[in-house]
Amino acid sequence: MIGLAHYLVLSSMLFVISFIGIVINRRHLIVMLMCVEMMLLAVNMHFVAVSQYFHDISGQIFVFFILAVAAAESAIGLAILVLLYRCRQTIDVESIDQLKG
Amino acid sequence: MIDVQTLTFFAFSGLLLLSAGGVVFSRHAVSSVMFLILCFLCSTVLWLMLHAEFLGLALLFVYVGAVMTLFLFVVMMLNVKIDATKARLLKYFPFVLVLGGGLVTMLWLALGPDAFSIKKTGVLAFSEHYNNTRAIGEVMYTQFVIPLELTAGILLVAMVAAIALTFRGSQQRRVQDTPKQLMASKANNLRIVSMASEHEGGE
Repeated sequence: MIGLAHYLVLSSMLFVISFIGIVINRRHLIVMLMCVEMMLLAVNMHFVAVSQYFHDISGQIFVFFILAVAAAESAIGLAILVLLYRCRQTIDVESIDQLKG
Repeated sequence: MIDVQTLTFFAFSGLLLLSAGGVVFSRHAVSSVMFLILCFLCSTVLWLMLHAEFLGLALLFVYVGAVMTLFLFVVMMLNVKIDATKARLLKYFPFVLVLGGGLVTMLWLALGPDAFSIKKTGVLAFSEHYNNTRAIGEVMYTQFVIPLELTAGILLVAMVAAIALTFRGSQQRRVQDTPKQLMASKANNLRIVSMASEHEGGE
Protein backbone atom coordinates (compact mmCIF):
# COMPACT_ATOMS: atom_id res chain seq x y z
CA MET A 1 0.00 0.00 0.00
CA ILE A 2 1.05 3.56 -0.58
CA GLY A 3 1.74 5.46 2.59
CA LEU A 4 2.48 9.06 3.33
CA ALA A 5 6.21 8.37 3.34
CA HIS A 6 6.06 7.41 -0.35
CA TYR A 7 4.67 10.79 -1.31
CA LEU A 8 7.07 12.66 0.96
CA VAL A 9 10.11 10.84 -0.40
CA LEU A 10 8.94 11.39 -3.98
CA SER A 11 8.44 15.12 -3.54
CA SER A 12 11.74 15.43 -1.70
CA MET A 13 13.47 13.77 -4.65
CA LEU A 14 11.73 16.19 -6.98
CA PHE A 15 12.89 19.09 -4.81
CA VAL A 16 16.50 17.87 -4.83
CA ILE A 17 16.47 17.39 -8.62
CA SER A 18 15.18 20.90 -9.20
CA PHE A 19 17.67 22.30 -6.71
CA ILE A 20 20.51 20.61 -8.61
CA GLY A 21 18.99 22.03 -11.78
CA ILE A 22 19.27 25.55 -10.42
CA VAL A 23 22.90 24.94 -9.45
CA ILE A 24 24.04 23.50 -12.78
CA ASN A 25 21.91 25.65 -15.11
CA ARG A 26 23.37 28.82 -13.72
CA ARG A 27 23.70 30.43 -17.12
CA HIS A 28 20.20 30.07 -18.43
CA LEU A 29 17.55 32.15 -16.74
CA ILE A 30 14.48 30.44 -18.24
CA VAL A 31 15.55 26.99 -17.08
CA MET A 32 16.23 28.44 -13.64
CA LEU A 33 12.68 29.79 -13.56
CA MET A 34 11.36 26.39 -14.60
CA CYS A 35 13.35 24.75 -11.81
CA VAL A 36 11.79 27.20 -9.34
CA GLU A 37 8.37 26.14 -10.62
CA MET A 38 9.35 22.51 -10.08
CA MET A 39 10.48 23.26 -6.52
CA LEU A 40 7.10 24.85 -5.86
CA LEU A 41 5.45 21.75 -7.29
CA ALA A 42 7.44 19.56 -4.89
CA VAL A 43 6.43 21.69 -1.92
CA ASN A 44 2.82 21.63 -3.08
CA MET A 45 2.92 17.85 -3.25
CA HIS A 46 4.19 17.77 0.33
CA PHE A 47 1.32 19.98 1.39
CA VAL A 48 -1.34 17.98 -0.43
CA ALA A 49 -0.08 14.61 0.82
CA VAL A 50 0.17 15.66 4.47
CA SER A 51 -3.17 17.45 4.28
CA GLN A 52 -4.95 14.41 2.88
CA TYR A 53 -3.37 11.87 5.21
CA PHE A 54 -4.08 13.92 8.33
CA HIS A 55 -7.53 15.07 7.16
CA ASP A 56 -6.78 18.76 7.53
CA ILE A 57 -8.07 20.77 4.57
CA SER A 58 -6.13 23.98 5.32
CA GLY A 59 -3.02 22.52 3.71
CA GLN A 60 -4.86 22.40 0.40
CA ILE A 61 -6.04 25.99 0.80
CA PHE A 62 -2.40 26.90 1.22
CA VAL A 63 -1.54 25.01 -1.98
CA PHE A 64 -4.20 27.01 -3.76
CA PHE A 65 -2.60 30.26 -2.63
CA ILE A 66 0.86 28.98 -3.59
CA LEU A 67 -0.45 28.20 -7.08
CA ALA A 68 -1.85 31.72 -7.45
CA VAL A 69 1.31 33.41 -6.21
CA ALA A 70 3.46 31.17 -8.40
CA ALA A 71 1.41 32.11 -11.45
CA ALA A 72 1.87 35.81 -10.63
CA GLU A 73 5.57 35.26 -10.04
CA SER A 74 6.14 33.51 -13.34
CA ALA A 75 4.18 36.17 -15.25
CA ILE A 76 6.23 39.03 -13.80
CA GLY A 77 9.46 37.03 -14.04
CA LEU A 78 8.91 36.32 -17.73
CA ALA A 79 8.01 39.97 -18.35
CA ILE A 80 11.28 41.06 -16.74
CA LEU A 81 13.08 38.42 -18.81
CA VAL A 82 11.60 39.79 -22.04
CA LEU A 83 12.60 43.31 -21.00
CA LEU A 84 16.12 42.16 -20.20
CA TYR A 85 16.42 40.45 -23.56
CA ARG A 86 15.23 43.59 -25.33
CA CYS A 87 17.81 45.73 -23.56
CA ARG A 88 20.85 43.44 -23.80
CA GLN A 89 20.04 40.84 -26.51
CA THR A 90 21.05 38.08 -24.09
CA ILE A 91 19.70 36.52 -20.93
CA ASP A 92 22.97 35.03 -19.77
CA VAL A 93 23.00 35.25 -15.99
CA GLU A 94 26.72 35.85 -15.83
CA SER A 95 26.43 38.94 -18.04
CA ILE A 96 24.17 40.63 -15.52
CA ASP A 97 26.93 42.16 -13.48
CA GLN A 98 26.33 45.88 -13.75
CA LEU A 99 24.96 46.36 -10.26
CA LYS A 100 27.69 47.88 -8.14
CA GLY A 101 27.58 47.90 -4.40
CA MET B 1 0.83 -9.40 -5.23
CA ILE B 2 1.03 -5.79 -6.28
CA ASP B 3 -2.20 -3.90 -6.61
CA VAL B 4 -3.21 -1.41 -9.26
CA GLN B 5 -2.87 1.62 -7.02
CA THR B 6 0.72 0.84 -6.09
CA LEU B 7 1.57 0.11 -9.69
CA THR B 8 0.06 3.42 -10.84
CA PHE B 9 1.87 5.31 -8.12
CA PHE B 10 5.25 3.89 -8.99
CA ALA B 11 4.75 4.26 -12.74
CA PHE B 12 3.78 7.91 -12.54
CA SER B 13 6.31 8.81 -9.87
CA GLY B 14 9.05 7.27 -12.00
CA LEU B 15 7.81 9.21 -15.00
CA LEU B 16 7.70 12.36 -12.86
CA LEU B 17 11.30 11.98 -11.75
CA LEU B 18 12.48 11.15 -15.27
CA SER B 19 10.79 14.20 -16.72
CA ALA B 20 12.22 16.35 -13.92
CA GLY B 21 15.64 15.10 -14.96
CA GLY B 22 14.68 15.96 -18.53
CA VAL B 23 13.88 19.54 -17.51
CA VAL B 24 17.26 19.90 -15.88
CA PHE B 25 19.45 18.17 -18.45
CA SER B 26 17.84 18.80 -21.81
CA ARG B 27 19.72 20.96 -24.27
CA HIS B 28 16.97 23.07 -25.71
CA ALA B 29 14.70 25.23 -23.62
CA VAL B 30 11.68 24.10 -25.66
CA SER B 31 12.19 20.46 -24.69
CA SER B 32 12.68 21.60 -21.10
CA VAL B 33 9.25 23.19 -21.24
CA MET B 34 7.77 20.01 -22.71
CA PHE B 35 9.31 17.90 -19.95
CA LEU B 36 7.96 20.33 -17.38
CA ILE B 37 4.47 19.89 -18.84
CA LEU B 38 4.90 16.11 -18.52
CA CYS B 39 5.99 16.72 -14.92
CA PHE B 40 2.79 18.60 -14.17
CA LEU B 41 0.67 15.93 -15.85
CA CYS B 42 2.24 13.19 -13.71
CA SER B 43 1.72 15.26 -10.57
CA THR B 44 -1.91 15.73 -11.51
CA VAL B 45 -2.33 11.96 -11.64
CA LEU B 46 -0.63 11.58 -8.26
CA TRP B 47 -2.79 14.27 -6.69
CA LEU B 48 -5.90 12.60 -8.09
CA MET B 49 -4.73 9.40 -6.41
CA LEU B 50 -4.57 11.37 -3.16
CA HIS B 51 -8.26 12.34 -3.65
CA ALA B 52 -7.24 15.99 -4.09
CA GLU B 53 -9.31 16.34 -7.24
CA PHE B 54 -9.83 20.09 -7.12
CA LEU B 55 -6.16 20.96 -6.80
CA GLY B 56 -5.10 18.34 -9.31
CA LEU B 57 -7.39 19.78 -11.95
CA ALA B 58 -6.46 23.35 -10.94
CA LEU B 59 -2.82 22.41 -11.45
CA LEU B 60 -3.67 21.01 -14.86
CA PHE B 61 -5.69 24.04 -15.98
CA VAL B 62 -3.63 26.81 -14.42
CA TYR B 63 -0.18 25.41 -15.07
CA VAL B 64 -0.41 23.38 -18.24
CA GLY B 65 -3.05 25.65 -19.71
CA ALA B 66 -1.74 29.08 -18.81
CA VAL B 67 1.68 29.23 -17.22
CA MET B 68 3.41 26.68 -19.43
CA THR B 69 1.91 28.29 -22.51
CA LEU B 70 3.44 31.55 -21.31
CA PHE B 71 6.79 29.84 -20.82
CA LEU B 72 6.65 28.25 -24.25
CA PHE B 73 5.72 31.58 -25.82
CA VAL B 74 8.63 33.37 -24.15
CA VAL B 75 11.10 30.59 -24.99
CA MET B 76 10.12 30.63 -28.64
CA MET B 77 10.11 34.43 -28.77
CA LEU B 78 13.57 34.84 -27.27
CA ASN B 79 15.23 32.03 -29.24
CA VAL B 80 18.23 31.71 -26.94
CA LYS B 81 20.82 29.03 -27.47
CA ILE B 82 22.02 26.99 -24.54
CA ASP B 83 25.54 25.62 -24.50
CA ALA B 84 26.15 22.02 -23.55
CA THR B 85 25.12 21.00 -20.07
CA LYS B 86 27.87 18.46 -19.56
CA ALA B 87 30.70 20.98 -19.23
CA ARG B 88 28.72 22.90 -16.67
CA LEU B 89 27.85 19.72 -14.83
CA LEU B 90 31.56 18.97 -14.48
CA LYS B 91 32.30 22.55 -13.53
CA TYR B 92 29.73 22.72 -10.78
CA PHE B 93 29.98 19.07 -9.76
CA PRO B 94 31.53 19.75 -6.30
CA PHE B 95 28.76 22.23 -5.51
CA VAL B 96 26.12 19.77 -6.70
CA LEU B 97 27.66 17.03 -4.58
CA VAL B 98 27.94 19.13 -1.43
CA LEU B 99 24.64 21.00 -1.67
CA GLY B 100 22.60 18.07 -3.00
CA GLY B 101 24.10 15.68 -0.47
CA GLY B 102 23.43 18.11 2.36
CA LEU B 103 19.86 18.59 1.24
CA VAL B 104 19.25 14.84 0.93
CA THR B 105 20.71 14.23 4.39
CA MET B 106 18.59 16.98 5.89
CA LEU B 107 15.40 15.73 4.26
CA TRP B 108 16.22 12.16 5.27
CA LEU B 109 16.65 13.23 8.88
CA ALA B 110 13.45 15.24 8.83
CA LEU B 111 11.15 12.77 7.09
CA GLY B 112 12.90 9.44 7.01
CA PRO B 113 10.95 6.22 7.08
CA ASP B 114 10.67 6.28 10.87
CA ALA B 115 8.90 9.61 11.05
CA PHE B 116 6.03 8.93 8.65
CA SER B 117 5.81 5.17 8.43
CA ILE B 118 2.61 3.55 7.31
CA LYS B 119 2.05 2.25 10.84
CA LYS B 120 1.91 5.77 12.21
CA THR B 121 -0.06 7.58 9.54
CA GLY B 122 -2.27 4.78 8.30
CA VAL B 123 -3.57 4.44 4.78
CA LEU B 124 -5.55 7.02 2.88
CA ALA B 125 -9.19 6.51 3.77
CA PHE B 126 -12.21 8.65 2.97
CA SER B 127 -15.90 7.98 3.24
CA GLU B 128 -17.65 7.45 -0.05
CA HIS B 129 -19.49 10.77 0.31
CA TYR B 130 -16.25 12.73 0.50
CA ASN B 131 -16.25 15.67 -1.89
CA ASN B 132 -12.90 17.41 -2.12
CA THR B 133 -14.15 20.50 -3.95
CA ARG B 134 -16.94 20.97 -1.43
CA ALA B 135 -14.56 20.54 1.49
CA ILE B 136 -12.21 23.17 0.07
CA GLY B 137 -15.00 25.57 -0.78
CA GLU B 138 -16.57 25.36 2.66
CA VAL B 139 -13.35 26.51 4.26
CA MET B 140 -12.15 28.86 1.56
CA TYR B 141 -15.19 31.12 1.49
CA THR B 142 -15.62 31.31 5.26
CA GLN B 143 -12.39 31.05 7.17
CA PHE B 144 -9.98 32.07 4.42
CA VAL B 145 -12.03 34.70 2.64
CA ILE B 146 -9.64 37.60 3.32
CA PRO B 147 -6.57 35.73 1.99
CA LEU B 148 -8.68 34.79 -1.02
CA GLU B 149 -9.42 38.45 -1.74
CA LEU B 150 -5.75 39.30 -1.25
CA THR B 151 -4.83 36.59 -3.75
CA ALA B 152 -7.20 38.14 -6.27
CA GLY B 153 -5.46 41.47 -5.66
CA ILE B 154 -2.06 39.87 -6.19
CA LEU B 155 -3.17 38.41 -9.52
CA LEU B 156 -4.55 41.77 -10.64
CA VAL B 157 -1.34 43.57 -9.68
CA ALA B 158 0.72 40.90 -11.46
CA MET B 159 -1.32 41.30 -14.62
CA VAL B 160 -1.00 45.09 -14.58
CA ALA B 161 2.72 44.81 -13.84
CA ALA B 162 3.38 42.35 -16.64
CA ILE B 163 1.56 44.52 -19.16
CA ALA B 164 3.18 47.74 -17.92
CA LEU B 165 6.65 46.18 -18.08
CA THR B 166 6.44 44.87 -21.60
CA PHE B 167 4.11 47.34 -23.31
CA ARG B 168 6.14 49.52 -25.64
CA GLY B 169 3.54 52.02 -26.62
CA SER B 170 2.14 52.45 -30.08
CA GLN B 171 5.15 53.89 -31.85
CA GLN B 172 5.28 51.08 -34.37
CA ARG B 173 1.69 51.20 -35.51
CA ARG B 174 -0.25 53.83 -37.40
CA VAL B 175 -2.83 55.06 -34.94
CA GLN B 176 -4.82 58.22 -34.50
CA ASP B 177 -3.65 60.71 -31.92
CA THR B 178 -6.96 62.19 -30.84
CA PRO B 179 -5.70 65.13 -28.73
CA LYS B 180 -3.44 66.17 -31.56
CA GLN B 181 -6.36 66.01 -33.99
CA LEU B 182 -8.53 68.13 -31.73
CA MET B 183 -5.80 70.70 -31.18
CA ALA B 184 -5.29 71.19 -34.90
CA SER B 185 -6.12 74.73 -35.94
CA LYS B 186 -5.85 76.89 -39.01
CA ALA B 187 -2.99 78.87 -37.53
CA ASN B 188 -0.84 75.77 -37.11
CA ASN B 189 -1.48 74.02 -40.37
CA LEU B 190 -2.17 76.67 -43.00
CA ARG B 191 0.54 78.97 -44.28
CA ILE B 192 -0.31 81.85 -46.60
CA VAL B 193 2.49 82.75 -48.91
CA SER B 194 2.43 86.02 -50.78
CA MET B 195 3.93 85.80 -54.25
CA ALA B 196 3.65 87.45 -57.57
CA SER B 197 0.75 86.36 -59.68
CA GLU B 198 1.46 84.27 -62.72
CA HIS B 199 -0.35 84.76 -65.99
CA GLU B 200 -2.04 81.76 -67.37
CA GLY B 201 -0.96 80.64 -70.82
CA GLY B 202 1.64 83.42 -71.18
CA GLU B 203 4.15 82.61 -73.92
